[in-house]
Amino acid sequence: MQADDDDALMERVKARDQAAFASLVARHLAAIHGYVMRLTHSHADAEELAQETFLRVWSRAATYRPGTVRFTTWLHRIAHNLSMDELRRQRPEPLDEPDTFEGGAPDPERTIAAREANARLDRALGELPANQRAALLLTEVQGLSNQQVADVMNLGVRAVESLLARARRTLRERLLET
Amino acid sequence: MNDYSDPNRDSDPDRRLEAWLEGLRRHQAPPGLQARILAAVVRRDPFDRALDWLTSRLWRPVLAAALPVLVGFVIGIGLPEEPDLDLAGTIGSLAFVDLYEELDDAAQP
Repeated sequence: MQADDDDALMERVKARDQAAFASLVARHLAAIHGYVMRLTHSHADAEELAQETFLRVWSRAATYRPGTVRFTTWLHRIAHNLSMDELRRQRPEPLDEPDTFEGGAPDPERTIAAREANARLDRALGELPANQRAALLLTEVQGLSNQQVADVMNLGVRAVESLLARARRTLRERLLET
Repeated sequence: MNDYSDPNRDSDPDRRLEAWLEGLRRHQAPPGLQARILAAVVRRDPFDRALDWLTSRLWRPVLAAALPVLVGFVIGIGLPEEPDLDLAGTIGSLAFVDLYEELDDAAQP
């Protein structure tokens, strides 16, 4: 199970095992980079924030307590707090074009309409309030449970559910716009 | 009632939303970022080790700071005891010094 593996790797990271740290980075970097990039909507910031997130994992490994929190929750909390600090520092938020960073193989069957819809959703995501954006990304993209998202964002589960409902409604409305 | 749908509208918003989210899930980190993170850890490691040494073995700097006090205490204990001062005698002597000086001044022509 990946959570157990993460905990085992973190035990080795606590003992300053760089190979174990490299395994953790390889396993979670794409998810964390994707999350901070969509949250800050800035490619340049995303690299810095993802790097700083993992450097904090290394330097604060001793503070990780397996059993009280899952590693993915702890990791996302670091990334989330760093990103929110960054967003608070720089207002208005930068609006890079996120399409260029979309991973995966290109889909030859993508229609123009689908591409337009994706562009609309990308813009809508960038225009959502940061809390709604974070809640949506953490559940739908990062695969965290509502309880985990509540832990990451330091909110109650009900508040997370409310943020999610509003975010989904906004995105759906944006899709239906002509 | 007109049943024609707007051709610009997506026929299934939920499906489109899910496809878009699936695209976000397939995100890949920029090439080279992983190597930069690992290199930064290698650079930072000696600093971390020094910090670990200080925080996990805090008794060392505390002991280093307290050592002069301990040495002074040990030396102080090793010294022979001073003879007791006769406080009353000392005060009396000082009082008489003043008295003798006044008498001397009075005896001066």
